[in-house]
Formats: sequence, C-alpha cells, structure tokens
Amino acid sequence: MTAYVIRRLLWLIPLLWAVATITFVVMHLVPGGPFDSNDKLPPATRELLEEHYNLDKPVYEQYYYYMRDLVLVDIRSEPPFIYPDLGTSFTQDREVTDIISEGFTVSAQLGLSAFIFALVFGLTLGIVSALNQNSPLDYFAAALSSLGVAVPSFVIATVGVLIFAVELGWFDVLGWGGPAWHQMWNPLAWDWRKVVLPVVSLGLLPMAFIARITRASMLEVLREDYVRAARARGLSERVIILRHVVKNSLIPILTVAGPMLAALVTGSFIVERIFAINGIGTPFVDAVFRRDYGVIMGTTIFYASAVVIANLVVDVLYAAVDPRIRYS
Amino acid sequence: MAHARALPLPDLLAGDAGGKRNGVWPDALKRLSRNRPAMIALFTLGAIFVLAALGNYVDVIQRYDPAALNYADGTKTGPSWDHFLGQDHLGRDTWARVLQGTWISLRVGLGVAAIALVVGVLVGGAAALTGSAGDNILMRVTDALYAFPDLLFIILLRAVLDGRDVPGGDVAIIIFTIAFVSWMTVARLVRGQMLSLARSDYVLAARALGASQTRIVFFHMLPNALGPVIVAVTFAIPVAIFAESALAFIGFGVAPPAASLGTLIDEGHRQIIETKWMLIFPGSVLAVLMLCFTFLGDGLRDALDPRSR
Repeated sequence: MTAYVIRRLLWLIPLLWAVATITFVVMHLVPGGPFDSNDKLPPATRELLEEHYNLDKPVYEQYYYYMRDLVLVDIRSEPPFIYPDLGTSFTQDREVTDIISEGFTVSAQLGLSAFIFALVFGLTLGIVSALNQNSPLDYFAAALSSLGVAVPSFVIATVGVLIFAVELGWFDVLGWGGPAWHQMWNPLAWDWRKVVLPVVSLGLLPMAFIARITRASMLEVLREDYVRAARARGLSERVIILRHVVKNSLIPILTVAGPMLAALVTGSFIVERIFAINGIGTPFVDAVFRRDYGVIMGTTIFYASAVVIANLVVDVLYAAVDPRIRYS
Repeated sequence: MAHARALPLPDLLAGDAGGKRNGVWPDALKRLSRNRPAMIALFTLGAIFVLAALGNYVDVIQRYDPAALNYADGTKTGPSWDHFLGQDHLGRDTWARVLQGTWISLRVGLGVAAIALVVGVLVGGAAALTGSAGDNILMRVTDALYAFPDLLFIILLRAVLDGRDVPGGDVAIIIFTIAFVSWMTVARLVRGQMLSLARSDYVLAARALGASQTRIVFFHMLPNALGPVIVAVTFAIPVAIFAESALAFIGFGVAPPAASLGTLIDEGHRQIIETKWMLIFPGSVLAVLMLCFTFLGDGLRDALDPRSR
C-alpha cells in the first residue's frame, strides 16, 4: 500500500510536467501578447516591460525559465513553508502564488460547502427513497434529483436570485460570506445570507447525482444474501440498515466523491460570476482575455495537482474501506 | 453448466421453448421500447430536433430573422400571436432566437458525442489491442489529459482558436474544444471492455476455431463492448450541451448575432429585473434537453445492461 502511494506520488511529477508543457504550448498559440491590448504604451516602455518579464526572449527560453523556477521552489517563513514559484502576473505585478491562494481561499470554501451540502442531502434523499421504494416520497426524491440534473447551475442561480433575493429579500447576492480559514468552524463567522444561494446552486447537480447513486446502490445491497442473513439472525431493522446496508452501499459513492470534490472546488467559475464572488474563476478568465501567461499557467498547474491528488486520496480510501481491493 | 444453474428456471425454459434465439440488440431494443420515460424522452428529442432544424431553414416556421431588430413591435415584450415567445431587449423575436440556439446546442451536443465516440473507440481499442507497451503510452497520455481541469482548458483552447477561419465556423471550433476534453472517458471504458472481453470464453473459442484477429475484434469484441460505450456517449451529449452553455454564459460562445441557448440565458439573466420571459424560454428548453438525454441514457443503460437494473 505504501509503495503504491509512493509510486502514485512519483507519477505526479511527469503528469504535472505534461500539464505544464501542454498549457505552455497552447497558451503561446493564443494570438497576441500581454501588452498588445494597451496600444497607448510607448515603444520604449513596452520594450522595458517585455525585457523585465523575459518576454523578449524566444519561447523555448521562456519555457526553460518557467520550468526552472517551478522546480526551485520558494521557501517562506509561514506554513506550509514550501511554496511553488509560479512567477509574476504581468498585468497585476503580483506573485501568481499570492493571487491563487487569495482566490482559492474563497473558491475552496464555496466548493467544500457545496460538496458537504450535496453529500448530506444527496445521501439522505437516496437512503430515504431506497427504503421507501415506489412510495410518493421516492417519486418526490426522483423528481427533485431530475431537476438537479436537468437545470444548469446558472439557471438555478438566476431564478434563485429572482425569487429569494429580489422578491422575498431573504438573501444577499453580492460577494461571498465565508470567514477566514481559522474561523471555519465558527457558525457565527459565516454570513449565511450570502452563503446559501451560491452553495445551493452549485451543489444541486452533485446532490442529484449522489442521490441517484445512493438509491441504486442501496437497492442492490438490500437484496444481498448477507442482509437476508442478518434478518434471519433477528437483528433489529435499525442495525441492519445502518450497519449492513448503508455502510456497504457507500462504496460506489466514494469513487465519484473525489472527482466531484475536485470539480466543485475548481468548477465554480459560473456561480462565482453570477454572485460576484472573488474566487479564482474571475482572475483566470481575465487572464485568458489579457494573455496574462503567469496566471494562466499557475492556475492550470495548481488545479491539475488538486485533481490528481483528489483522485489519489479516493483510491487510497477506496482500498481502506473495501477490503476486497488491494493495490500492488 | 455451473452458470446455467444460477439462472432462474423460467428464463431458461422460456429460452428453450420459444425455439427462437434473439440477439443482444433486438432484445435491448425491445426492453428500451417498454421503458416509458425513455420513449417519451426519445419522442420529445425527435420533435425538438425536427422543429429546431426546420426552424433554421424554413421561413414559415422561423417567422422572423433571429438577428432582425423589430423595434417597431416593441422590446422586452411577453408572448403574443405576433411573437410567440416575446421579444428581447433589442426587439429580436425570441421564438426565432430560441430555435437558432436550440439548433446550435443540439449540433454541439451531437458533434461532441460523435467525436468522443470515434476517438475514444480508436484510442481505447488501440490501447487494448497493441499489447503492454502501446497500452502504457496511450493510457498515460489519457491520464495526463484527464488531469486537466476541464473548464479551464476549454476556455484556453477556445481563446487559441477564437476568430480562426475554420470550416464550420464557431460551432465547429466549440465542438472541437469540448470534444478535446470529452473523449478520455470513452477511451478508458473501451479499453476496459476490450481487455476483459479478450479473456472471455467465446473469444477464446473463436480463436481456437481459427478466426483471424480482425474477425475477432470486429465481429466478437466490438459489438459486445459497444453497449456501455453507447450509454456513456449518450450521457456525454447533455454534458457537452451544458459545457457549451456555460462557455457561452461567460462570454466564450458563438460570435453574435448568432446565439446558443447559453448566450440567450446570459442575456435573460442580464434583463431579469425587467422581463422574465427572456430567461424562462431558453432556460426551459435547455432543461428539457438535459432531462430527455438523461432519461434516454438511463433507458439505454437498463436496456443494454440488464444486470445493472
């Protein structure tokens, strides 16, 4: 198991190299450079700027500098001490690492909250509808999850804003209400009026997805021989459901949970845009428009590592939960 | 015989008594036609497809030029006999715009699914059949592309290809961009199927009977691997439509005055305080499309893989 994890972590290096290289090539294929849009720039200033950011060098040399900086990490005094050196943003003249960590604080809170929302409500819906198969409750849950699958997050968000913020005035819609990280566990630090709508619009699709999988998986486990054996042994229904059925039907959910968490944390662009949340989405889209190479590269590399690590964690958890799975 | 005994007896008897043995596909078709939600979805999709196609090429159905600014009739109006779905903030006819948007969204969804199917089957099949070295290379490439954050890469690719002169124009560029991040799932699925089928008894039997490798791949393995692949491709259609509308929503859609459903929803979102119709119509069409493809995918899965029910 340890060997497997180490091998997977080592595999991360060529993978991230490939991601960085492909992004670098694709990015430089975009017509125009970061200082092209600013046509009022005097030629001398522009030359100085390009020299400052190494943009006057040939592309392969820029690639070499970028990769060298990436490998030689920054050591800083604050935890986690080792920071990747992702270069400087050409349009904001700030460290890309700082821009990403700032935006990611918000995006990660939004994504995590949506994930927890999806998990809690999805599991509940799935379990309840599996235990009451073909009852009105089951049909209601099916209708709710169909709605979650069918209606895109930006439609849900817009309609939600219209009904709950504009008409009813229950929620605020501009900005994110999450606290600083050390306040995460204090419910009073959250501005719930700002948090609820974005989290629900982002979490409804994964919630529907989890509910569907949970229901199917529960129904399958309920038919297993060991459940019948547990009934024959005279165990109470509560023990059978909690200890035998629910626990075993969680395994398929684990496989989708990792990629889902990664997708939620990285895929909140649209919801962030609707609610004017200062996450990582807006800087990235702006960077693409302005050809801000440093921010484009940094965000892609950062997210790719997040996705890969999330998948690794899931695979390890999978083996830990299901003793039938062994990695060699 | 150990397998046969595990089957319920009536099934076995029915299979023998009928004397006629149905293939996998007629059986699946029969199961699909009995699935009411899937059939309703299929019918609805067919109707929407025909209407959207006609609405883009037949003036009587389209009624107005989707780009024409009919200020004289008013702006931001609700549904009426003159304008079935009302007009937008520039006086354009929403009926014509929604038909155009639906046609673009459908083309994107189906185009992406077609590319994902072809590339996925080729790469996955090649990986499974070329032995361990080829398998390793192809699957590592797939892994690397899988690690890309989808939306980030779509946006980047879209920016690279923006404004280039490509046959098929913007829609072709968008299809290519989304397909680029969509084929990996199919490739992995095909590879897994092929690898497990290669070890199955009937492939071994065919090989023992002296069938050629080509014959085994095309007559025995591919048809049997196709079921789950078709299901995966069906589910890829709504995902692609969703990706396109998300792209359009953040401003990377087709060039105006053409508009996909995502663009229309974005415009509706901007005008929401003054008129709700501009959001409601494209939003509902998009929701119906997503719902129908999902139901169809569910039905296909139940029909093609009876064990999963």
